[in-house]
Amino acid sequence: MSPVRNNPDLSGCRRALRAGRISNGVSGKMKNKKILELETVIESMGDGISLSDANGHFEIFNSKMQEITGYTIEEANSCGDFSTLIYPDPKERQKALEGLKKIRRGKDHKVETTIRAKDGSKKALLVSTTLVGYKDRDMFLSVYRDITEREMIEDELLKSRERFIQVADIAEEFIWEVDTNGLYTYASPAVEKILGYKPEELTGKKHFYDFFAPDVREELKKAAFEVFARKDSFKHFNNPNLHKNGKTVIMETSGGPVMDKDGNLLGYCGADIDITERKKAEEELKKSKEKLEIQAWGQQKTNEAIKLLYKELDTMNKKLQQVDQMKSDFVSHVSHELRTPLATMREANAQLLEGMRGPLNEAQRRYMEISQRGVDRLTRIINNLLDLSRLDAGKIKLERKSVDITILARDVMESLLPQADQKKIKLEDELPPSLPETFIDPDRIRQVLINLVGNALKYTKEGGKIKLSAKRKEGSLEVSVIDTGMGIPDDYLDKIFERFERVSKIPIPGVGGAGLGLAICKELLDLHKGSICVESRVGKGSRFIISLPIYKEKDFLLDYLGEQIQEVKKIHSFLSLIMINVENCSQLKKKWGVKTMTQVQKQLEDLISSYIRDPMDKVIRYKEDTLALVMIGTPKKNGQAVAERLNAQTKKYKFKAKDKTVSLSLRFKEVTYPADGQTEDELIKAVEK
Amino acid sequence: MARKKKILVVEDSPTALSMLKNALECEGYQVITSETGEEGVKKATSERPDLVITDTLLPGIDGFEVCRRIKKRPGSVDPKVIVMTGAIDAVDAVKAKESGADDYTVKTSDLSPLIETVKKLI
Repeated sequence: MSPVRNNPDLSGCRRALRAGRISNGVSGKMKNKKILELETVIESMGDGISLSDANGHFEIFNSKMQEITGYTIEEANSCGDFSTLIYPDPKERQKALEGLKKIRRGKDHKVETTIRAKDGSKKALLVSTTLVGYKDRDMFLSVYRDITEREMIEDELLKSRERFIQVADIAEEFIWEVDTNGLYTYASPAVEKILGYKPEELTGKKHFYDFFAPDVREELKKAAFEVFARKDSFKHFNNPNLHKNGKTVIMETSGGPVMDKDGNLLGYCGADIDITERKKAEEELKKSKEKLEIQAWGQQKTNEAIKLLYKELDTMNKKLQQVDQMKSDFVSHVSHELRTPLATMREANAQLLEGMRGPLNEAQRRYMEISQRGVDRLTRIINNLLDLSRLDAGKIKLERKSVDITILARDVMESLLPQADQKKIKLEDELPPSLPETFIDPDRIRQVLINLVGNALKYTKEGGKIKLSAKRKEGSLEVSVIDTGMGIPDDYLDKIFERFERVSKIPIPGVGGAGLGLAICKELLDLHKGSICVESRVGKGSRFIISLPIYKEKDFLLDYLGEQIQEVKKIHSFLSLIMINVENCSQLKKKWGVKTMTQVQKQLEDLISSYIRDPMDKVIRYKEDTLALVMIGTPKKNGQAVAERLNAQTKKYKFKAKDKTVSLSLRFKEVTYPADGQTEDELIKAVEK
Repeated sequence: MARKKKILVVEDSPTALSMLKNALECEGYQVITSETGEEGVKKATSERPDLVITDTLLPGIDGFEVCRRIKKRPGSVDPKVIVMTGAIDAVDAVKAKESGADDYTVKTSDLSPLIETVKKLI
């Protein structure tokens, strides 16, 4: 008997039946054997077999049929209309019966149908029916294949596909399938958003490589097919594509091979995401990073450059300092050289003018005077130059004294009054009767005031006015020189205190000078820790104001001590401080009044000063009732000796107050640096103990 | 013995130029010079120097442009370029890097930092 194959095959059954017909002419035993064989075959078949007449009566109903339908042959034959049992739906029944009518001898009629089994379950069957002759009757021979499982699988498959489509529809990724040539067999709706094409424009029409950017298409296509050939899966393959509107879209593709059960490649399927934005962001980030790196490099290089430039500045500075020094040295040297011949000239002129070398006539006298004036002017200029160069070199030391400025001012007025009268300029003062004393170098300040008033005289015309005034302004003293002269243009105001700066390069008759005077004034004021400034209007006049701090006595001593200790330290020498205190000071003040007391104090100061030999020693007023004597280079025992000597000598002295003799009760206390203190504060503390 | 390295100096100030030339020749380099940017670019091609030192301020195209043009040339080995500026300006350093320069320095009277940079590059 032929084996069971995929499709129910009737030929075997026919043969079996034919064998039965033929057996009619054969002996009984042989007939039984053949029938047994036949029965065995029919029973053993994996498909259901039935042989029924037009009335639905079953001659053959094998066990598989029983299995499928759930009914036995007896049940099937005794139920009346079997078709009603297995086709509960009249329409289905009708269809089946109609189908039977179409069946002819020798022709196979295949149909898929669904019956109801005895237990109510539905069975899907593939039925092959034909018409055969059996025992002189037309009989329906049917082979039934149970395809319920197959149907279920098909159902699952459908459901599975539906699920897939549902997901593919809503997924943002473009899900695709291509065949082995790369032709799209499936494209999810997302492709429209990503590439601008509808799925139907792709499936069956376009290849995946049709969308690659033209410049890389060939090489990407080649690479892709190489992967196909190896049947490899791939992930995150970046590829540039062209949107329908022409824009470039960067896709990230992942996919895998689709193979049949024999391992043959059917195609590829996978998903793409649009990473254009991501790529853009990555590019931006890279650019930013690069920019930052460049900035950092730039910063580093700039720092290095700054360092180099600083070094350069330093070198330049040093060179400048050198040059400055050289210049000062030069000026000083030259000035000294010039002084000598000038002095000679002056002397020679003077002698001639005195008539020591014979009488001079009028004209000769006049010209000699001109010459002498020239020599004087030259001398002044050279002295100014020397002054400046010494100021520069720090060689000028101030000889400070406690001075009332009004006295200085009046001095200056007196000296210059004759000149003013000569020029018919009114020289007046506006000075208070007195001002607090301050520690200044009176000669230098006098020099400044003479310079200022002298300038005023130079630049003021006949009939003009010059006023010298002084006043206290909080912690400073202000002295002003106001004139009604030419005035100074605005753009020169801040330059006039510079050296060699003169307002007009054109020499004005009667005005001389090398432009050094104001520069020297400024330097001198600076040394005093004071200041000088100017206000002026062209044609109206100028006002020069100098300001000097009122140095408190204590501060001055401390300052001075500090300075001297530094000097003394350098040469590993000593410094001695002797405090001379007037013990009955307040009593005497009450008795004689402040003014008299001040005079007495002055006497004491002068007395002490007269006893000191060394110009390096100084008497400085410390407090109202205390004088300080600072001696440089005096070791302890010498200092003490001096204190004792002074004590003895002052005891004998007769101080005068308002014609009366006063006796001062003086106390002497001595301390030495470094023995009694290393700093000015320590020394003061030690001496006041 | 290795051949002398060749340096092209692009600088319009004759004093600065001769100073640089002397200093570099003392260090054993062969020095060729240019007083304008355009000439410098040309010589960078024709003379094939190993290094180009260019001032930033030049008549005509400036040092950054010189650097850009030299670096843009399609060639197997570009010369290295040092951009030298007389003005200290942070923008200059970044600008130099953006023009493709290999290093950046300022003009100083002491040339040893420059020499060091030169030695590092070639």
